Amino acid sequence: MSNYFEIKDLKINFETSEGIKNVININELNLHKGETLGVVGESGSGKSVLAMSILRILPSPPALIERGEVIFKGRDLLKLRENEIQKVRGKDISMIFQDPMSTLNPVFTVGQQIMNVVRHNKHLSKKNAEEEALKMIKLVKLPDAKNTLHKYPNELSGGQRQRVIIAIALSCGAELLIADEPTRNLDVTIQAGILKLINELKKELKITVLFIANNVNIVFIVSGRVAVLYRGKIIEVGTSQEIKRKPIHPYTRRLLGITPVDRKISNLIKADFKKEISSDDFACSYFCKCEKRMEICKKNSPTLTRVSNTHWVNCHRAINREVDNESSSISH
Amino acid sequence: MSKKSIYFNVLMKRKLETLKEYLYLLKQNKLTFAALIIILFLIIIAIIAPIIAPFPSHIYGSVNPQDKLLPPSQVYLFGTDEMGRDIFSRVLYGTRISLLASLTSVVMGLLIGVPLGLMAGFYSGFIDEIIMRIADMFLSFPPLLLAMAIAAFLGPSLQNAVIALIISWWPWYTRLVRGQVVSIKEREFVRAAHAIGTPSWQIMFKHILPNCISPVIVQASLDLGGIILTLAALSFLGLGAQAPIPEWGLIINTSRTYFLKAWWYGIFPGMAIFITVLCFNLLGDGLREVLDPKTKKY
Amino acid sequence: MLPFITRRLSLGILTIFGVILITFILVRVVPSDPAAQWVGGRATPQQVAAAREELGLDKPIYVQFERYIRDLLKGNLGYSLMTHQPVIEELKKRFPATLELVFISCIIAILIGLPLGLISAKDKNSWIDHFSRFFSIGAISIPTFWLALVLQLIFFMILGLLPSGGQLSMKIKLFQSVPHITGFVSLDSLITGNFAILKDFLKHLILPAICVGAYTIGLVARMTRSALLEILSEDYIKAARSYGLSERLILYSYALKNSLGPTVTAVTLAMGYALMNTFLVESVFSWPGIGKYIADAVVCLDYPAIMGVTILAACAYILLNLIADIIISLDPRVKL
Repeated sequence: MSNYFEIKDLKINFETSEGIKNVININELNLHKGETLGVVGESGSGKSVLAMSILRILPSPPALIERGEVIFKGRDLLKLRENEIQKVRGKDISMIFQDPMSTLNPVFTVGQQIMNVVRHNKHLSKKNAEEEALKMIKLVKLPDAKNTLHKYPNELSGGQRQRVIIAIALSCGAELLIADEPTRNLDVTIQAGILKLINELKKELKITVLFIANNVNIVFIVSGRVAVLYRGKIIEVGTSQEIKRKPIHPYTRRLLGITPVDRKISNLIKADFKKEISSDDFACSYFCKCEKRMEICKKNSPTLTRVSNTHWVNCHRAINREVDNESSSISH
Repeated sequence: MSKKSIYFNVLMKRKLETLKEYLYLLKQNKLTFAALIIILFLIIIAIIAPIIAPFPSHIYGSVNPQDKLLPPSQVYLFGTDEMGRDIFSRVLYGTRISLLASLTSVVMGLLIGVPLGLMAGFYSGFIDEIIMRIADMFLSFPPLLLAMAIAAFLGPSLQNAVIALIISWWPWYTRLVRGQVVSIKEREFVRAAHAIGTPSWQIMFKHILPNCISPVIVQASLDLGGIILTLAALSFLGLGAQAPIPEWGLIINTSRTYFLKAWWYGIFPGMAIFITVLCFNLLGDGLREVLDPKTKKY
Repeated sequence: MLPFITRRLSLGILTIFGVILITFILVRVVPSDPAAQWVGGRATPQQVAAAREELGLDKPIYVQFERYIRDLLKGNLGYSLMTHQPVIEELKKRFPATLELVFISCIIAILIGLPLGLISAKDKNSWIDHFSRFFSIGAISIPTFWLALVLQLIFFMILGLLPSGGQLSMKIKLFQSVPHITGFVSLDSLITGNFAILKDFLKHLILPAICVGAYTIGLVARMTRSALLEILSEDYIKAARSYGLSERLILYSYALKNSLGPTVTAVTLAMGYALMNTFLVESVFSWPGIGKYIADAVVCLDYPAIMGVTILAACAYILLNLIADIIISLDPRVKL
């Protein structure tokens, strides 16, 4: 059974002044056609690296893709030549980014930016490109479409800019959209508008969405399935319902605000902070902060264990079937 | 352990880490490293010039007319000039003059320009206008021109050339610093310091200055080279060092008269200028790479 | 747009006033007595006193300043102590030659420097990048006057390929009537179709042009490279790449348009340096421009001449910066 989109055994390293650090280490991550998969992770978990690696726009020093496959409709994107991956970008897979202001070129008007992309990718004439640009602006529900086309990015508000970026990204008929924290820099009310837009566009254009964020609640709003990313590893995957109701991995539970901080582990956190011990010393990268850690977690790497058809966890607790039966209500 | 020593330990560890980082980056850029070594080498030469120069008496003292205008040989490595003086020794001594003059100019320029820039940016309003208008007046001259005019009118001499260079250079630092201050001033930590009641001068020097010092350091090291070039140009025109001071530009100027007879005369001092300025430029570039993209840690 | 231009223009005029003020102060700083300078070394005290009165040096400072400004506005820059001719005439005679040299050198330098910086940034860390960086950093480290002497040594003395100086060779000057329409030899010879003169001119132009242009090429290449590198690391370039735009489109359309500001600044600065380099180079190559004039003036301490050139050069530079500012203001990001 071939998947629509799958990431297999992806390992990405970064060159830093302190040596080579592993940033992404994903065994398996799949996307089904037409779904929205949310990827949740804190800062530094490797979300943006993951997103950019799919379209191969990672800056190559310092990033090094050690191994892995990113298979989209049967083709391994990582093995494509530069001109081939360029054909994929924008037309098959498209991406939107976190900061709407810096993602838009300040010296081009909104209309010009859409037209540039459309003319290059779909080889449209100037007139057709203009019509297409107008169509896209209306699609993302920006008011006063005709005038907006002639505005420069600095004349728009944050939410409007993000809509423009969505318009650009979807202008060439991409069927997979990677959204890298698109609402992070926006006010809460504007956030809601963008999320609503993404949901609507998904249904209208029948696209698949990979939605990356650091706020788990936002991810639940848009996604059917959720994957939790911790330090470059997928530690739990399941439907939104499953993750929300029955999170298993201690980190996921912490994310959802379920588990209170245990005083006993605070010493370990202090040691980790002072860099006396590093989480790299242990097989499970969450060992230091985990309140449910066991001896086995020190030396043995946990593997992805199936809890249900759609729910997988990367934790020894799941392997040993020591799933806690605590209620999933949020405690303080 | 007392609280103070824990703080100190952590501070030292942090400083060590930053130093390690800088060294790592510096080592990556082998060219910059090489330039740094050469500059240190030049400084050493400047200091021990009287010891290693084969004919130290030739610099200011005796003249050797029977050996005039000899081509390079084993005795006279760079040949001799029209007064029979060993050019190699003179070039070695010239290192002292160029390095010292350049250092003086840059340091004085910084001492004048940086505080003015801090004040202009920090106080803005009237003070800002006055300082920047004055700086703009000086900056509106093409490079070298102002130094030429000042040196001409003060009277050609090495000291006056250095004064002219200081007067020409300080506005660059003022403008640079002011630009930085204006953007740093709005940052939270400045407002916080202000709210606690830190006196203005302390905010300026302890909080704002360290944050805008990097481009100044880069510019200053590039300027060390640039000023050597400008000083040599001034001397070449006759506005800087006067005979018998062995300033490189002056030697090149004097060599013009004997150009046809003694091709070697002006070549070596020019080479010295080239190498010195090149190293400072490489150093400045390397510093820029190290100090600037700290934010671009991606 | 218009209010911006007028505002910028008035600022320019104010700056010129500042320049005049500074140059006036400089003149007053002169340790030697201009009156005595004027009448020469063997004058009697009465002659010196008479000269002083004639030159208005006995009046109070503000009167002198007023007179100075009025003279300037009339175009009177005083009399050159070397030639006893009006400074303004001397400048008028020699300015075209310098302008020609600077202009042609700058064009060539920009035509080489800009693409070099561009390719350097585009293919960062490639062999051409390393070569270009090495070359440009060398170009800005080399003392221009020394380069002039070295080139003269190699190409004139050793190889005998190129002339040692002057704008045109004696043969041409004596046996051909050099056309004088615009005052610029290159243009005039092109207009009249006299290619012999043009060829001769170009032969004389090469070495000085290289010397003047060397620093410029290095400067422009470096500044273009760093500006472009900064732009290429911006988020909107990353985004453009993700939309599938080709590297070529990204570079020539997106990046270049954003680099207008830094590029214009670089070119302006480079032209300022080029102008200064002519001062150093003209005397080596006996190029009949204001550079040689001021080099001679400096040696004889001909203060009116030095003053005149200073004011002229400063005004030219201010004008250049003004044009540059106006071009930069075309950038939509710039708030007028």
